Amino acid sequence: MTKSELLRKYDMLLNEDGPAAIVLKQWLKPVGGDIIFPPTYAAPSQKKGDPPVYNIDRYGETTILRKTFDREGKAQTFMDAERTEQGREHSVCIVDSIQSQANRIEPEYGNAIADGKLVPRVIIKVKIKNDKGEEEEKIVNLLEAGHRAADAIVRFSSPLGDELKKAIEARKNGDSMPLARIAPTSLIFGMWDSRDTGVKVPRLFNSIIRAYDVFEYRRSAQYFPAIDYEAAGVTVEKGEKGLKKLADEGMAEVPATFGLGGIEARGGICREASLNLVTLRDIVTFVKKSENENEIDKEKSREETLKLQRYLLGLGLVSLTWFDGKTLNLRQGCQLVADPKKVMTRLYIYADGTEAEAKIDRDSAIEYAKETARAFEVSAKVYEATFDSKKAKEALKKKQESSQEVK
Amino acid sequence: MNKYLVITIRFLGDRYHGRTKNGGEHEWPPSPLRLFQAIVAGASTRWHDAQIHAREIAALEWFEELEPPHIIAPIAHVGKPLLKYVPENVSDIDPEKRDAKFSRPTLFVGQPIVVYYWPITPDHENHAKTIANCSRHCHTLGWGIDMVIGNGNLMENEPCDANGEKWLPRTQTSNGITLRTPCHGTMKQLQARFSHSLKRIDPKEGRNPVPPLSAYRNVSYQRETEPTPRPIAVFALLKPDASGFRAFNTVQKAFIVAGMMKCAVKLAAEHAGWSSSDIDKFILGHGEPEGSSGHVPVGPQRFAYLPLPSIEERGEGKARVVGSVRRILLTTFADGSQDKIVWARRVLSGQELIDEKTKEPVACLSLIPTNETIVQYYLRPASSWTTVTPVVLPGYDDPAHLWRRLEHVTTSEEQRRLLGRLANRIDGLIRKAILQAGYSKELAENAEIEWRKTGFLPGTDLTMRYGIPDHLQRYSRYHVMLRWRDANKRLVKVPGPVCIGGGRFFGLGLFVPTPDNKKPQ
Repeated sequence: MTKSELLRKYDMLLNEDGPAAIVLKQWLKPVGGDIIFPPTYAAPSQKKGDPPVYNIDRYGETTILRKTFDREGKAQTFMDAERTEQGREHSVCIVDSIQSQANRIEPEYGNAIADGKLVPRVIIKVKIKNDKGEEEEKIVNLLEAGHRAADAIVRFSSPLGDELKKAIEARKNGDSMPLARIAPTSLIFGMWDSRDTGVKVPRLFNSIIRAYDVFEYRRSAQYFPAIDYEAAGVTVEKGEKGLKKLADEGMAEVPATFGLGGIEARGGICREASLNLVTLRDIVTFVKKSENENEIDKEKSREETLKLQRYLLGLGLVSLTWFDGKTLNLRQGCQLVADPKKVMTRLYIYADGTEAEAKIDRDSAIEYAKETARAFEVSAKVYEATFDSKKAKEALKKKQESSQEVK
Repeated sequence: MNKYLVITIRFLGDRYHGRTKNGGEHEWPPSPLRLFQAIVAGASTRWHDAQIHAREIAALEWFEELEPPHIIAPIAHVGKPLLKYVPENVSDIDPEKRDAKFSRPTLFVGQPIVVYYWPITPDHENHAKTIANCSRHCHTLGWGIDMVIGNGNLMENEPCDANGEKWLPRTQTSNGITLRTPCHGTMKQLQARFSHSLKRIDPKEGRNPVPPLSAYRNVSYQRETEPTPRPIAVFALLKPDASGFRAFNTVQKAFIVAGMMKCAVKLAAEHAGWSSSDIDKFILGHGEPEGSSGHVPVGPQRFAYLPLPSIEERGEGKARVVGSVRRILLTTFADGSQDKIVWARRVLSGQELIDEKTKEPVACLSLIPTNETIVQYYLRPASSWTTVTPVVLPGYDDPAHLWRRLEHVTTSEEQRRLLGRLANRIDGLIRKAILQAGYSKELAENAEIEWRKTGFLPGTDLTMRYGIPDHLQRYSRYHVMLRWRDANKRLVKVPGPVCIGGGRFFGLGLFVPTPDNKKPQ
């Protein structure tokens, strides 16, 4: 296939009558046993001491368990029982959230994906004091900034902060090219410049991993110290206080009972990802006829928009396919691989609900993305910026002053 | 001929995070106002083109003034609350600082497709087509992670609800929900708020909060399968000196209480100047002239007097037992009689119930709130219901004298066949009773039904022991347990009071909710 053919390969996805989205469904299985450990979250009660929870939702028709009791040697059953057990029919557990999946994929563009050549390399240097009070330099890649192009690390850096602000303003006025030149992944994974311009960029790409029909397990453990420290001469006061002192230093037995012990997904584990092509097609750019004019050159604008959309489509297709055939090492006790018994599906979904098979794999996506990045002329130069702590402090000061005024 | 503007939203995930009242309440289905805002958000990405902008703004200003749509949405369940800590992103001062963020998504069962539709007259088709086109640019509905595919069409026929529940706007509902819908001025206010939000942080002035959206209407919505709640008035039955409750034995006296109540209402109506024909029809349920020998039914446009047996929790396991009658509920089984119930609430407190034989007062009425515990047993929406008083069948259950034939049957096959016919006949009559009580054909045809001569609840008795008006003596009566389901066999919660059968105007065939998995056999 020639370069020009490769560039046009997925143009049908950029047409108005093209599919609305590409949706992937990939069944996974755990490595080494059926039990996996999903992420834990703080107890919603926010009470100190309440244990963390998994994100499991259970629903379905309720099942009432009849209450029975013994009387005169016979088991009696009440007609209307008091205990109910909700949701015996369905349950779903989030194993890796949308935000977490995005945070796994985005940094890969820094190096692992096509040697980092699909996106500009933007780094921010920050001077921080270490534990000894010495100043050292830390490097933050824009791809690692949690709020992307709207992150504080970017807003208060020079000269990047001002350039990105202009790019976001241009996006507000409908032109996404400046933002794509510096922070294209912000267009793929979305961002919200909540603390400055207020501009919202919807995400093009979503990915989530869920486990179905889950059984929760508990586990308990006991720590035994190597020796009897009290017998070895480590004396402390009697009672709970003394025991606590020993335990704090690892010199006492400590039980950990009835903690979260993972889940078993009896209905399987599935990764579902989607690339929203409608939103992608609405990302455009404008080229003025000349510097001094406001009039738009429609022909050139169309050409540049196509270049921009092809480039973003390339990044989107790579994001969609990047985990094909890879181990998803989500956290300790949660390593997932593809389930060979359940075929992966990738579909084009049209606005009217019809579906068609999408024949795209990781290699073809990367090949396409490389060509579109080349046509887009992604800069190979490393863009360096410096975090300006004075600028940040000033902004904080203004924030404090304005909130005091409101009071 | 009118067409329908149909907007279809297909969620790409299994859940929806939108909530209402500042995140305080669950919202399902997504409100028409939220859809309107999502369409505006999607369409506005192309408004750098002045022609598109002008055309679409005009269409949206027309769209915001349409009547609230009908909505078809999958069944949904409220997920569990989730607390996450997300980066606060202030500056270098505390990079580890986290903000607590609560979410409580709605999970849908079945196809994640929500359909909104409006009837459109031919002269508005151009605007409707523009809106249909705008809706194809929808990218999210709810939070930013709730990605959707939007589609819009003009269709000849109303969409069907095979994959979901239909929600209809109602003027009055007690067990429905309230959804926000756009109105005149919504579009203008959205544009103003958007401009304001882009300037909400000013380098000199600091924060400039955006005022909340106020240009919308609150509209009541209810599932199509849920019957419209009945207007009711509930009274406590007190001793004549009002020193305490006056209890009446449910099995023997309930229908007598209903009769006494009817007389008390008649008296009050006469004092209030009602016409004799209204009193005959609405209060007494007689369509025939006074003195005439035959009874002419008047249909559902009349009062129903429902004595409410107390539901008492007794014993070690706190089993619910049907107790004596200490309250009575007044309602109608037809629409359009709200004013008469309001009148009854106003005038009947203090009225006495007079024993027909002794002519002495035996109780007096005292209006009570409908949120009282015992009253709520009979009113709260539920999918499973059981009789506290037996259902009088609206017809003969054995016109072909099959029970007599069964005495002479020698083969089990013939016995099975005859019993099957009997069962079908009874089943059909109970479903007829459900229809006659004003429930929809869908509910009547799909309800799960079980019946027998003994009660299902402690405190109920054999059906033949219940006091019954003379004119209903010849019809069989059964205790019934039923579970409401729609045409797709999904459980439907129906609000009370539920009362069916030939004696429903006297409180015979009165039901109370039971735990959900008490399935009829």
